Amino acid sequence: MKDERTVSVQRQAQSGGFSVLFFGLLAVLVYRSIFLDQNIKEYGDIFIVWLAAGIYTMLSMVLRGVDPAGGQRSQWLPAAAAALAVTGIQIYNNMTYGVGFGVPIAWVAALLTFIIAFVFVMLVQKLFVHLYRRWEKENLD
Amino acid sequence: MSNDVRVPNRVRVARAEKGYTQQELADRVGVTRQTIGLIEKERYNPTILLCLGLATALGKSLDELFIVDKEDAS
Repeated sequence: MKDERTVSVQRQAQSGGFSVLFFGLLAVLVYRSIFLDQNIKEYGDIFIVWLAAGIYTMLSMVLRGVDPAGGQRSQWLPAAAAALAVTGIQIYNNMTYGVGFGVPIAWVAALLTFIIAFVFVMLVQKLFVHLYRRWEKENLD
Repeated sequence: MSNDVRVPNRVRVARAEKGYTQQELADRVGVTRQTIGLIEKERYNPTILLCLGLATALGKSLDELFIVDKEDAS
């Protein structure tokens, strides 16, 4: 028999399993990209699945009334952190291929990467906040 | 209220008064015997729906079955 407790335990277990998969796939992506020096074409399928799982989780939460800001007022800090991480990976890749900061275009590329990543993450956050506000309007007002 | 807070209850006493076994009570409210056992040991907090089912099956009101500490509830 499936009762509320077994359903709840099952969901907790599945949530733990999802975390293992999610962070496991992230580790696989980092390993393939940085240590095996693979091209995005070689691990793009895993990246798409990983990204889809993350977006699905966030969307499900937002559309069921979980505030994506989580009480935090500033959205720029997580966006800046994500943009810094992406820029860091790009700089690491540049160094691997011998493109140091002696080449002026490397500075421009790093700056562009940071700005694009920052704007992208901010836009995604804004979208989630917008969806949450819509949920709030439909269900709480 | 935190999920870790365990709500004391009188389910075991009320069940004994009615003369039900854990399995009989479980069948009446549509859960497993293990769930009834865990509720009686206060290791699982049932949802409000199950609380209402238990109260109906045992002929008690909610506040007769479940004791909520006001400090825990805040």
